[in-house]
This record gives sequence, C-alpha cells and structure tokens, in this order.
Amino acid sequence: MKTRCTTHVIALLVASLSLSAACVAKDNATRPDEAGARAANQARFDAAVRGDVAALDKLLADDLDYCHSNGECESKTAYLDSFRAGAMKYRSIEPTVDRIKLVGTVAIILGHAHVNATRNGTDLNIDIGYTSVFAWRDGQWRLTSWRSLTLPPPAPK
Amino acid sequence: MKQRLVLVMTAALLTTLAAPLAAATPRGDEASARASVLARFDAAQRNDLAALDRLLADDLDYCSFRGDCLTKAQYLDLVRSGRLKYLSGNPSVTKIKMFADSAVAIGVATVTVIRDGAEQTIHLSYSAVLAWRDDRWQMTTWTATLLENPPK
Repeated sequence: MKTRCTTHVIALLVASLSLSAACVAKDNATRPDEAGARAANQARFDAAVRGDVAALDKLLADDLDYCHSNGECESKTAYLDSFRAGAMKYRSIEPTVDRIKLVGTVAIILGHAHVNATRNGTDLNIDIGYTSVFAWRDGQWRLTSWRSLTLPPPAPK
Repeated sequence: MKQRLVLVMTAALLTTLAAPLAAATPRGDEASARASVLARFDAAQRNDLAALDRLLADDLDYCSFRGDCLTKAQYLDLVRSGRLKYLSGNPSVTKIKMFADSAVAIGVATVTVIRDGAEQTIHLSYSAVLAWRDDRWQMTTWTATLLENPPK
C-alpha cells in the first residue's frame, strides 16, 4: 500500500515538473523583451507613414488610447478611421527611442520624433516627445497607450 | 522512512503546483490604482515628500508638459527645494487599464502651481503608468499634455 502511494506521488511530481518545464520553455520561446518592444514601436511608425491600416490593426491593441499632442484622445477605431478617411496622413516620422522599461507584460517607451504630417487639413512639421505603452498579448507587443506633446522649436543659435 | 519520503514529496508537489497559482493571483486592483494616482496629487499638494517617496517608483520618468523628463530624485528635489509648489489641484481619473503587474491611468487635471517663482494655473491631460511593487502601486511613468481649455 505504501509502495503504491509512493509511486503515485512520484508520478504526480514528475508530471508537475514536466508541466512546469513546458511552461518555462513556452515563455522562453515567446518572451516579451525589450528588443521586441523596440521593433514593434518602429513598425508602428513605419505602418503609419505607409498608411497601412492592416498592419496598424495588428500593432494596435483594441483598448488603445491614442492621445495627440493637443491632449485629445482617440480609440483604436477612431484612429484607424482617420487613416481610412485620409484625415491623418504622415509624410515622414523620424523617431528616436530614449528609454525602454519593462514592467511585467508591459513595455514603456519614451522617445522623441520629428513628424511631418497632415491632420484634418492642417500641415504639421513638428518635434514631439512621446510615451508609448505596449502590452504583450497573444504573443506580440501591441500599442495600448500613446501620448505625445509638441516640443518648442529649438532656440536659434 | 518511507512515510517521511512521502511527506517530503507531497510537500514538494504542492509547492510546485501552487507556485503558478500564486503568480496568477490578482494583485493591486483598479480601485487601488485609481486611489494611488489621486494620492500622488494629494501628496504633492501637501508637499509630503515621504508620501511621494512611497508613491513614486525608483525608476520614475516624470515628463512634464514642457517635454522635459525628470528622474525621481530630480522631481523630489524640485518639490523639496520649493522650486515647484502645488497650490491646488482638481484631478480626475478618466480611465484605468489593468495589466498583470501594472496599470495605465488616463485623466485630466487643473492645477495651480508656483514654478520657479511664477504662479500659473494649467489644464492637463495626463497618462500615468503604475507598477505593482513591494505590495503597493508605484508610479513609474508620468506624461502630461497641456490643454488649451479647462477639462470638461
């Protein structure tokens, strides 16, 4: 009786260790890391310049809050609609990344960018500071929060 | 001897199985995240450096509407020195999004401050990222945008 009990416990222990090992292996294969967040950030800028709504749809989280430099925040749907309608058109975005922080399944990216765009008929040629927050979902980084602010033009030398 | 072995193995088994469950247990909730954001405004207004120290993460990036980003030490020094003094504030949290160990808060505020000797009332839209560390919410990123008009 004792021998059978011991056998069962050992079998369960082995099974649970195998399960844990499988979980660790899976995590390592699709780990949310800094390089992936940086790549997703750049891919999002590139898709915006191309006006590639399909790519943006994959890169943006459904719960996106996209807050422009005037403080106005849009949902993912409203943001994508502005591309479809032609209200938002980027000619170029030259981004830099100053810092990336990983907090669990979230990546926070702080950076700057020079943006040349037309929004609602107004031409923009501005320098911005931005904060992107990416959430790790379904094995990929998706932008869940964006906030930018217009920086003052550099002082003349 | 066998009984002891069975006990040890059972304990190891339970520990192994319980670890993922413990990791999946929800930590700070939406209400506490909201309270933490408002507590930070309150602590700033009271010039309560000890409270701010607890509410701000060591890796804080505090990016003001001017576009400059301060570390936690720089922000606390600004408040400690009196170069930044909050006179009043009317913050509200519009939205909280919860993640495994973090929360994103979006909101608006009208604050009156003295900054470098000049009093100003400003309307802000802000995003704050909170990290759940040491059993409490700590603000790790703050980014604010200036609004032209008072928030509705």
